[in-house]
Amino acid sequence: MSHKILIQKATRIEGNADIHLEIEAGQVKAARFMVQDFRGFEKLVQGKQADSAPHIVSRICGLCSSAHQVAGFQAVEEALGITASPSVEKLRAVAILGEWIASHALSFFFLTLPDSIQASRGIFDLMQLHPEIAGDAFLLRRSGNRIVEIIGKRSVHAVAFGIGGFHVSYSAEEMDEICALAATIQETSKKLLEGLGPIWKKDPLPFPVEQAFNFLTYDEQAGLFKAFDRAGNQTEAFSRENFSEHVAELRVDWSLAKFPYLAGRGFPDGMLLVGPLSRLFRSGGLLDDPALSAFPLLEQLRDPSALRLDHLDLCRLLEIHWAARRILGYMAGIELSELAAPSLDMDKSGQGVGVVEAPRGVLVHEYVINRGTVEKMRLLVATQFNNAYINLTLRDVAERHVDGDHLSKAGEAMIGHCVRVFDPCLTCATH
Amino acid sequence: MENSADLFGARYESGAVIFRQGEMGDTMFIIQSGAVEVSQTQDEQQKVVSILQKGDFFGEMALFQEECRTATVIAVRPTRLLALNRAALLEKMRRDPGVAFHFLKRLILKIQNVDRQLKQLVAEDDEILSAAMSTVETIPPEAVAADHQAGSNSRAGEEISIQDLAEVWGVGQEGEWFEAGQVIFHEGDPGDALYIVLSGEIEISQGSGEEKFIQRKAGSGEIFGEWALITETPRYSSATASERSQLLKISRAAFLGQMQVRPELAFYIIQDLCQRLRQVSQALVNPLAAAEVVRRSWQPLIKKRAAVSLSVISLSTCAGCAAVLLDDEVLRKLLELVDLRYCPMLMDADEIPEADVAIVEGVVRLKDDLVKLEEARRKSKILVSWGTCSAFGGIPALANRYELEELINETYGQSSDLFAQYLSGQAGVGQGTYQEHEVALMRKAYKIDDFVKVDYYVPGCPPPAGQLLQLVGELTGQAFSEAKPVVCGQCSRKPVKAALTALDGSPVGAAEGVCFNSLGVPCLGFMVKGGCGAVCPRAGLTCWGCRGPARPALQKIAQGDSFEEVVIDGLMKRCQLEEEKVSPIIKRMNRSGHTLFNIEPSFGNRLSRIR
Repeated sequence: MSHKILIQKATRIEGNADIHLEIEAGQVKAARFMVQDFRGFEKLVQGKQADSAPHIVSRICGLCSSAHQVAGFQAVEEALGITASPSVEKLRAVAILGEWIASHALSFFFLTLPDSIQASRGIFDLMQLHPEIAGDAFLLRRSGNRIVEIIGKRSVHAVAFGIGGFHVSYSAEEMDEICALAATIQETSKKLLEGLGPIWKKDPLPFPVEQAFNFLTYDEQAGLFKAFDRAGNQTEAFSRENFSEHVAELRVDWSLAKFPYLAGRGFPDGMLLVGPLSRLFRSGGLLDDPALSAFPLLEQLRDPSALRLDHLDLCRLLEIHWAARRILGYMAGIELSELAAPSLDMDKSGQGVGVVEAPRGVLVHEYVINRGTVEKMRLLVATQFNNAYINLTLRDVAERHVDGDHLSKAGEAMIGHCVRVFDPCLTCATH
Repeated sequence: MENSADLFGARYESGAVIFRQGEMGDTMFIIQSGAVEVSQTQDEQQKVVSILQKGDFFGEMALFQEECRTATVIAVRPTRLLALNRAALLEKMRRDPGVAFHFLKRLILKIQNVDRQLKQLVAEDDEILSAAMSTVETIPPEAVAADHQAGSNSRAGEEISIQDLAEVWGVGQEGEWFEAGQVIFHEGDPGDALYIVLSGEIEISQGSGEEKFIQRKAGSGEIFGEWALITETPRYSSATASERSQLLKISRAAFLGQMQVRPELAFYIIQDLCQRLRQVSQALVNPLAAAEVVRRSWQPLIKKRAAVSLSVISLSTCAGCAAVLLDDEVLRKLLELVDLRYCPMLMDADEIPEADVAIVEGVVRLKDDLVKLEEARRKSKILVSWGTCSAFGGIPALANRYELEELINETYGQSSDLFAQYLSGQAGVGQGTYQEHEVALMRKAYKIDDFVKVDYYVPGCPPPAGQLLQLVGELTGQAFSEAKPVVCGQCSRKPVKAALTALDGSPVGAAEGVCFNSLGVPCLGFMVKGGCGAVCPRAGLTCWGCRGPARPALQKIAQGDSFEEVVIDGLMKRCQLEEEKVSPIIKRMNRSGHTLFNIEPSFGNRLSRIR
């Protein structure tokens, strides 16, 4: 009776997952995003020196390694009572934004845009069919990575980040190069935002209507996590120290990714969504930048009630442009003389929480340090927050496309696509 | 007595000299029992070339012309040798054609054996490979022709001429004509005839189309196809006329039939083979002086110049190793050489396809990783460990200090969670049964050569992207590996004289441009393989060895030193400190996450396969 469809692999995403659907007599009995990655970072980092821990956790992910490093250094600094100068914070922010640009370019052009042109060979088809767009995509990626490379001396698993500062000194030429790259990124992304229309055909992907959820983002200026409901109203705000009390997690036997939720709301109403859409609601985001209003595409995002999940990739494209502008803003305020990492007495104890908005969403590192050694670490990483919602979306898409006891052709394509739209990074989600 | 020596050979005591290098001789020797040592003096050094035993022969070149012995042969046990000059051998062959047959067979097997040793030598020694590769473009056609001429000249003044052969084997003096491009036989065909080239040139090759690789060219007076005559195996190579050529075809039956009547004919073939044996034996002794000969023994592993099919296999990985390939400069150059067939992060794919090369990143952490890895191994000719995780275990292998249950508990809490079941059921995110949907983990994070044979290693966290291009170039015979000895070679920090009292410094705030070790900050760069640009020490972090141990360190590891011992010895020498001052740093390195301390002795033997 039951007709199981096991779509073996989710492709054009980062990490390993199977999509599993069970359909019987026109009903979706189960829809599961079975994530299959795990390496045990939370345990393996125990007993390691606090100054090495950020370099170890960098290896959670090669696409957002700098985000992990910065969150790690922030957590260690907080635990050991060290304050980094504003210039250090700004230069770190620039590196993170450079990584955003490279990551969003990968996600948008290599992974999701190919769906619009039915290109199963992804970027390789794009290079044949739309070489100018592919060229721009590579330019964005290269520029973003180069920004990280100038600051960290290597774009994947940077080397120069340290506790309280950087391990190298920078020249004025290097800073100028970063600004020039940001200007190139601005120009290129503007061109794409204005000209991409004709080939970018999207199927709308609405939010699964019946289920409440919470957009979660981190407001750096306020130093607070903020949660918003579907209509865009702020529902909760809490500090870094209170993070653990506010967010709990479930686990299931069929996926190595856990299900975080707002403890105060319980599960499933406490379900979370992080990433570019969630960032729309914090102050100083896409909607607040006057330069972005020049793009008609932005108007689709103004009305919360008209938002759809497929707007996630539009947000990514806009965020590339926004990030370039932010980089230029930060660069103006950096004092080269305030960047060096100080010599430190590491033999201290404490707890700290480092939070970064990584390309895919909020990333939280909580460390307990005992005499310079990591005693305990809890990580909640971007895509991990989205896990429950991805599962729900799969079910929703399956229900809309069910045809007897299997999916329609359109449904099969949409299933793969709807996962990609979240830009999942599963090695991050599971660590 | 004479009869006894004739039948059973002359007796030599252990230590007796049969002949010395430089003496004149005209006899060959067959070993009836015992063993002899063959040695050569080269640049004032006496070098043992081989030990020969019962059934082997030596001194065979003297059969064809009296000449200086090229080696010294000494009995290493009480030995019986049968001595034969040309007349004696011909007489033996007349009486018993099996003698000729046996001799030919031994010759062919010997040539094949030396050939195999040459291939091995080239595969293991970068210097020899470089010398061999450098001859590819530089041999002028006239030199090749001269080579052929030299071969046939040595038969001038012989009692057997080509006309004689033609007459005896009953083939018209003309032989058979082949037009340029015509195939005489294909690789894999059953072989039952050998050919003598009367005029023209024949190309001996393997593979076809883009994969064709030319092994040698046979010119006037030379022989090809003799393997099949003697050993009854399918054709090892193809033979194609590269210009209009005249060939004498001698079938097996004809060959055997005429052996008894005119054993001198076997002589002709024996002579050709002996020439070839001498050439390759000399190349084995002094490969750098015989680069062209060496090259003929060598074949690229992938006989293509472009469109090398590549699969990117990602196990449990951070994807950083794959990410470094997504730079457009690297990717464009790669795509000129490579046809990317599989990379699920970038392309939809149903299953792992057959491919020339598979690069594997990540550790084997899940059971599914093992399934993928084994499938990738089955479906690829060359499997490359790409990155530190797949070569050594990397950062994920730090988890191996703990049992799997500890890892799971830390991240997932208690394994049975009734409350969770209730909650998840409510949202329709239902629990599956553990057996049905088991997402299974291995007990440890494994490196990939714990399960499959790995052909090449390119370590690095992440590895240098250009190294993949370099490797593919090597595999297709278009490049040869570059020496990148140690990290220090690319580092901007330079050693200074220092009287150190301890090695417990921190890299933070270290003087720019000064070697960390000179400052009392332990850095492993001096014993780690270079090629990474020394990114870490240049940017303020001590080298933690993600590229793996360098050649000297690997050689020590192969001999049984542990990685820790190599580290301690190295730092003691470099920093001029006693062991008690140096050994505490091992604990410090462990606590900072250094991951190479579990490198196994057997890894030391893989030196030639690390890039």
